[in-house]
Amino acid sequence: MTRTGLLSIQGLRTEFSTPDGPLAAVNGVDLEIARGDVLGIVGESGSGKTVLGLSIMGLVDRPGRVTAGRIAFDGTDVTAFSEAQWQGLRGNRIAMIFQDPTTSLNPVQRIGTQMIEAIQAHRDISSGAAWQIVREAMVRVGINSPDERLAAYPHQLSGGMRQRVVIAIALLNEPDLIIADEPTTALDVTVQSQILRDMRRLCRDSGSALIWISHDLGVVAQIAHRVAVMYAGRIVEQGATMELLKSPSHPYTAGLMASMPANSPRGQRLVSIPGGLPQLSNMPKGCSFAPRCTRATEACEVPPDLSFISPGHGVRCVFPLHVGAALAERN
Amino acid sequence: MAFAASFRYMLGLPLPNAIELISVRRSFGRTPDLADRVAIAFGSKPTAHVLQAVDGVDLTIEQGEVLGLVGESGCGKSTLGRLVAGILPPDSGDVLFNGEPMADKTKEKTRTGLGVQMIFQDPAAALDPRQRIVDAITEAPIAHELIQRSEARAFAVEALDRVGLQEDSLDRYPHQFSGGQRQRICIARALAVNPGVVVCDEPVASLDVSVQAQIINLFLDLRDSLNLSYLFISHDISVVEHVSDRIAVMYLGRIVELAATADLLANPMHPYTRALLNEVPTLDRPLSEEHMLAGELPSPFSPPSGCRFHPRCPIAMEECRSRAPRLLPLSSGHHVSCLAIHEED
Repeated sequence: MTRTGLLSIQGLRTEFSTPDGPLAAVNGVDLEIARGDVLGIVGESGSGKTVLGLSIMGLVDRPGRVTAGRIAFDGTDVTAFSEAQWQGLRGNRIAMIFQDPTTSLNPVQRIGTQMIEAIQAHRDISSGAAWQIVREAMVRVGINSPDERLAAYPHQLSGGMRQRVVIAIALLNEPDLIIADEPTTALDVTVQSQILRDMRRLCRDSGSALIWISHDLGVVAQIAHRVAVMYAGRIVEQGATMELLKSPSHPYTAGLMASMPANSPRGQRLVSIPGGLPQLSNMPKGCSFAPRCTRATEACEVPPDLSFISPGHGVRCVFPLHVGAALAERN
Repeated sequence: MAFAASFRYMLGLPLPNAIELISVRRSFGRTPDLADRVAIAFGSKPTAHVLQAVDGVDLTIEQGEVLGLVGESGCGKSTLGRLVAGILPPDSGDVLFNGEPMADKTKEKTRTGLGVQMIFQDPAAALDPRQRIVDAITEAPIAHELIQRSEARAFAVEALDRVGLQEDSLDRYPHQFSGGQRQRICIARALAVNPGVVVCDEPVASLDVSVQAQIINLFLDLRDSLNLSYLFISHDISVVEHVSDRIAVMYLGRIVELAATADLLANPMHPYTRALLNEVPTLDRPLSEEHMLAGELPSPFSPPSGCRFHPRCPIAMEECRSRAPRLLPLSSGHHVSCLAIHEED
């Protein structure tokens, strides 16, 4: 399968103006996503991963705004799109799934009504025909007895079922790109794994590209072809999932993996990254991870450029790890 | 440690279990009003709006042991935690602390209730936003006359030092700390009254991975230095697995499996435990294509008859619909509640 570019982001910067001056939540992000690609974006809270997702959707609210960079969707520059232009795109060719399904659904409207509205907003189609599409969409996300569920109100469904409904709505207009922001974080592992399987299958069948945003490296590893690790508004490392997990190059990625309980012998102290995320108002002037990094030297006082240690595996670090290992494997 | 327990220790007698639960039950629901009582008196069935959160649980936590408790949301694990902590009284059954019945904290203000403390999931909600840290930590020890008001500051400095916070935190307010630091404050506050048992209800669920590791390390260090027993409740099996000596798996108000950590993970017996372990995302194993667990947790308002897992169980037999299995030991010391397994054994 040849993969053609679908979304191309260059130098994206999203700032929020505050009384103390603008704060950059997303600070120079470059990303390329091809059709059918599944990209995982991993980061801790405050790393800017959600704002990145909202920026791609044109959903950043004031006082935030995109101040620099270019977002091209399917060859069209959407950075300067008007709200009317966005409405033609959003929910139609790009769809977003949010963390909390209760807040994405209208509590006083039946599920079916909401779903039909999502179709008729973009297509001139009779309610009868729309009902057929809606039923099929419900079956596709694994909801049995769709008629019963379509007549229900959101509060009558369980959390997992509600998130499936939200996914079904996102898939209604067969979007080219789905952005899922922590869609399984509020759910139990058993429900999470069902949704991961469904999403993986649905994207494979429809050829939609998927951006899966999560704080959980384990979840991302299950679904993504490629992973981008965000730290303090920047992508510090990205690469193919297997390679990145096998030989993480950025000390932050390596630290994240090491701090997962499963990666330490039982009962032993975990490897933890000292300190916490830097505050946006008080960012280190060079590498933003340097104050927590054991490898940092004076050379880290200038922001590191993205360097590629193997094709497609880029890292923003002056002293990356595992470079030798990655090279040896390639030869 | 309670007086009686230390007395036993001096006499060289074996110490009682830190916590012992004996067929503990707890339900939530509307108490029947006059109309309901009249209806019941005339022979109608009591309304089904009763949620049996904990349904006959027997469990022990030994001195210095970490018992992990896992299960899906709604299985009753938080209620069980609150029963152990004495925040909720059981409807029936007994909760023993160091071999003695626990004081009902909701009614009595006694010093015996201090032996079990609790740490909650959301440290921001567990701290009073308008209380300085020094007061949050010393309020309980002063009220129970464990320390004098004049020694409060020195006491708080020591308590904060134990959890890795500096003296300059004393006069600050909760909002001036990060999530991880706030959880450290909650831990310091819980330990301020010298408990023997700490109930941790999802203590790291709201924290980022890198901070989560710091707090888990703190729990491990404190256990060693203070000889604490923990009931460690979490939905995240990888966290529970890391800290626990034994793990109990809960499903709809009942314990379905209980075993030493290594044993449970290497050799899960109950079909629910097997399915649960299979669904945990890991870095080294891709998600299997087949899904082992059908459907979702049934509504706890109307739990299935017999074995509560039977509607989702791949090996359910006809008998499982009507007969509830008991949690029984296998020869290996592994406890499991499943008719299919005990039949073979």
